[in-house]
Amino acid sequence: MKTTNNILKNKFRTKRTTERKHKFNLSLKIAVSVRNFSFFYSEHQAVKNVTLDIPKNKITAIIGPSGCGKSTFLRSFNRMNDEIVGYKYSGEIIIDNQNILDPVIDLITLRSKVGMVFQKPTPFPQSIWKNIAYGPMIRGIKNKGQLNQIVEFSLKRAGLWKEVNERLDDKASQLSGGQQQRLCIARALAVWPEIILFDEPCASLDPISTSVIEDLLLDLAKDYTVIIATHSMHQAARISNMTAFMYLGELIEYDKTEKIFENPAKELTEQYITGRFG
Amino acid sequence: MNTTLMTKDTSSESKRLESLTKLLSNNTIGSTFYVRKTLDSSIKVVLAIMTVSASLLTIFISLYLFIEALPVMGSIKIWSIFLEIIIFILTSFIALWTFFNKSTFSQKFRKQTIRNLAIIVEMLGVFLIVTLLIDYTTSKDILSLVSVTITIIFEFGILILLIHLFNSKTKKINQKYMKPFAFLLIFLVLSIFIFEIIEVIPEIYTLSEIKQLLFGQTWNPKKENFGAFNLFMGSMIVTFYAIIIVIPFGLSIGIFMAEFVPENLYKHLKSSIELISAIPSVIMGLISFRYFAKLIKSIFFALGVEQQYSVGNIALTASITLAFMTVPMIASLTDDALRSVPKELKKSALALGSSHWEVIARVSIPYNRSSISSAIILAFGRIFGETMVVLMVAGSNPALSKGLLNPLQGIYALPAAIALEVSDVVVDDPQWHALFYLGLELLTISFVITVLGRRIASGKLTFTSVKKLFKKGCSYLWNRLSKRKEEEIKYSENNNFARFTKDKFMHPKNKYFQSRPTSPSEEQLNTEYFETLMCTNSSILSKYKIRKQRIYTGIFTLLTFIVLGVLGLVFFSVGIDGFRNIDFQDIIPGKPSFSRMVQGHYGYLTSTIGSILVVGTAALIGLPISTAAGIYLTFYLKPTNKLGQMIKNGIQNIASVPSVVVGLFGWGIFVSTFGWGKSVLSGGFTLMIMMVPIVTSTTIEALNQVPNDFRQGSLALGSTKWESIKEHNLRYAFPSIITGYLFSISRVIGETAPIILTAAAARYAPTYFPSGLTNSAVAMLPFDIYEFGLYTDVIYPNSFSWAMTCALILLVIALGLFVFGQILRSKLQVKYD
Ligand SMILES: Nc1ncnc2c1ncn2[C@@H]1O[C@H](COP(=O)(O)OP(=O)(O)O)[C@@H](O)[C@H]1O
Ligand SMILES: [Mg+2]
Repeated sequence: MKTTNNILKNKFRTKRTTERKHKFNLSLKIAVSVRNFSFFYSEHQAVKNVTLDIPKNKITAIIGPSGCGKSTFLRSFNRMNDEIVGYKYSGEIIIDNQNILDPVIDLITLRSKVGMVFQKPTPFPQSIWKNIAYGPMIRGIKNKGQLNQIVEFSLKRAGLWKEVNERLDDKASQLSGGQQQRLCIARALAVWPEIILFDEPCASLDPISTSVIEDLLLDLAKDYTVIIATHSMHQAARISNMTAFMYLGELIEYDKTEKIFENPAKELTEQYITGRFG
Repeated sequence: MNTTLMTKDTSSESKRLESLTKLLSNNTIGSTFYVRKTLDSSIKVVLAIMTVSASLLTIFISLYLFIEALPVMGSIKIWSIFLEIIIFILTSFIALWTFFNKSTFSQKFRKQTIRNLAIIVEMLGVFLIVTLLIDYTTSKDILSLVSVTITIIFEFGILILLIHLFNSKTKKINQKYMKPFAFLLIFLVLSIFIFEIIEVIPEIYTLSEIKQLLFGQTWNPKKENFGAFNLFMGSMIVTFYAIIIVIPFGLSIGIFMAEFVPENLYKHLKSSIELISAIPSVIMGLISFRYFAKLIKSIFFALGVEQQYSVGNIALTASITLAFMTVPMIASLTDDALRSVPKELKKSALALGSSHWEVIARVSIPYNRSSISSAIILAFGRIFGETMVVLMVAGSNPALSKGLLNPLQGIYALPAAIALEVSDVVVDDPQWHALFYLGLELLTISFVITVLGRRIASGKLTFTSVKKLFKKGCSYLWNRLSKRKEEEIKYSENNNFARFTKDKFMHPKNKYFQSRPTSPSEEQLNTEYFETLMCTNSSILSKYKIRKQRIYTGIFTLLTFIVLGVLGLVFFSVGIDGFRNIDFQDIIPGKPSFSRMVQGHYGYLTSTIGSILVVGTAALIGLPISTAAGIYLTFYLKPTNKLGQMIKNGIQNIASVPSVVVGLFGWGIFVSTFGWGKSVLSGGFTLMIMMVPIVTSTTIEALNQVPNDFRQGSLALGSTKWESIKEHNLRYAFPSIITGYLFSISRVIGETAPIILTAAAARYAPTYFPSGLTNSAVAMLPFDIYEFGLYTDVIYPNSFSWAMTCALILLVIALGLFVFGQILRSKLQVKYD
């Protein structure tokens, strides 16, 4: 592991990263491998020594009671935690043979490769079109035709095209909650990610919108690696291939979803699944 | 991923996809990427430089005043020794405290202290060397040279020890090593001091100069009598009575706005009260010179004491005017404070059967005691530094012949003395330095008052905390003296600590207390609150209580209407007098005929253009700097960071520098030292200093209003930090930031004292524009008002109507910007739903 790491070390670094970005090894079955990862908020340790491998082009769910560190863990995959004052981490998170916790990692490249969708839909207070085109535009694409193509592709992929293609210039805030969330997914798709993180994407949505989003996630998993943090274990059971159960910052159990829900190895997991706490 | 996609789709679709993939991967590489990265990091550096330079302005101003004031304050050497002794006492106190408290402080802490101490001593030494060298260059005294050499040798020794200490971070430094080092340090500093003091003794007589400055009662610059005590007392008299007058008005209006005004009227009332603060002080000075003073004179006439006070220009007139000008400050702070009282608290008080008034008096006001008292203290600081009104209506007699506290006499206030005497002083004259001394005194007083007020507002300084600190110190000493066991001390300390934390916890300013989730919605609570109110009103309250409440409400309403009435009268008189006498021919700069010049008839337009030029220059320099500072402090150096807090305070401290002191600074630096003379540039730079704190804080406020979600979302899409700020927070906060700009311009365009000192003069040239950016005085609106408003019509016919017309134009501009800003903010604000 160490040697390959060294060979490919510069992949995310500003210079060579970008050249290699889209030539990643398709035979690799592991999208993210986490080794002994711990995260501290000044004093408080929110993630404790977690080790796991996340498979490629599958849905991996992180479940656990609220406050157990799911979001913190998830935000570490694209270093969104760096925006917080007073944090510290240790261990490794390896994506594409690169330890992304390395301080020299270029965050811009990392974040366009590992996209994120938040709990609350956060459309920018601009038009639908501009929301989607935002990512490509900051990357320097100015050609309107190309942008239109990207917008169309992303909206189609997020299953929103039919609903909004007539009103791309409307304010994004006029969409319903579920549509806004799909808009955010489309926005993330427009920057060409390989991994998409979802932090409780359905927590603020109604049941119907939730099922639409869940279908979308299943569809996206054909092409993308999806990691979803959710406190709803039913959602995890419905859509995920792998499930990780976290409790008080520790990874209690990580296995195939069927295994976790039908025959958990740990007593704590069983208690949580059967609803005896949390 | 791409291969799987391609196999799935139709061929044309897959081609398009391929091109898209290429496109996106191409555009992340290449020059754009590096351009973005470089832009991101360089912008951070630029912002940091601007912010830090802005935050150092106050220190720079005070240092400059201090240096310029030194020649009248005794020998330079004495002052440096004085400074050093203070630092010495502090450091040795800390040193002794630390070294002999083995049990209380950890090894690490003691090591750190000793290191910091050494650094302080080191800096002290450098300071000492510099002063001694300066001394040597001026006096060629061989003794100084000897002491410089000795100090340098000592310094060197300390430096070596310091380096050693820094290097041995990992090494364990034990008691044996630390103690000698500590004693060595103290010994070194002591010996330097003894040496210094021996040297300085022959100059000790110069200390009488500072005593004379502080307590001398005669101010007669022509005879080089610089006793500033009566000037100080004059300012104190005006401020003291102004505060006494403003307290009932300000508090009543605040209470009235927060508790009694219906919601739909509230907004209008609040904005009309705030209009008062947008009236330039020179206009208030003019109005009070022309009307209040005469009114007071005639009142005294009616009372039969006319001979005694035949002139209305007395301290009381200024106090009343200043009180009126300070009403909005106290009123809106009180209003905000009262509105911050949790609804549950009021409800539970009502449920106990108290009347509405009792809730206010017993619950709301005590709950906000610290904010209200800090509002009053801050108002005190503001009034103390206010120049134009005391200059125009308080007279100019430093004698104080009717007693030190009598408001019924003309006084000569500190700021007025500065503004008035600067115009005919010679550079490097003793009077020049004396004026800087006055500036320093004024600055120190305002600064101390403001810091005090702010500490009280932030809950760091309360009566109980002072008492507690005192008690703690006493009990500690007592424990020490009576040699009690250490456990006992610890216990009592812990106990104190527990009480202290509990106190903090319960404090209204506490974050927890404020952010505690309230389950019912705000609206629900509101209606509930009023229902409870109605209920108690009708059934439980006795008639007596209701009557009492009615009386109070009546008083509040009355006071509010008095203030509004005065506001109306001010507008009315400026409007009528200004408009009636407007001569549209005067808009055009006339031909330079002498009689027209004497009357000041060189066109209102010239003065308006002059004002716009100077303020425009100020805005051109000040707005970018302060916006940068706002951005930097919001996103790069969070105020949670110690350094960030310090820098933010540094910038906000500029706001506590009285405008006349800023003017004095500008006069010393730009007008005299840089040799720009009175000019657009000097005035612009001076006003820029006044703009910085206003715009910085409005920018910070505006940026904080934008939810952080957008920036997060944008970062998650791979924007750089600067892109995420520019595209989201800056864009959405833009209307509020612009409003901040307009407010600051509206504030600064009416500033008179700074521009009297640095830019404006009666300029009788028949042109619209000054002849150059430097060394060409400008005609400006506030200056015209001040200059022509004070002449009687006997000397210059029409001078008063001229001043009034200028006042009208200035008022329209200032209020226009103010109101326009408010409208802009409410109309343009992006809604985040
Ligand atoms: N910004 C922060 N600063 C300090 N502690 C935090 C912060 N965010 C979260 N935490 C703490 O970290 C722990 C995990 O939080 P989080 O990752 O949000 O949990 P989850 O998403 O599972 O609800 C919690 O105990 C929480 O209090
Ligand atoms: Mg969470």
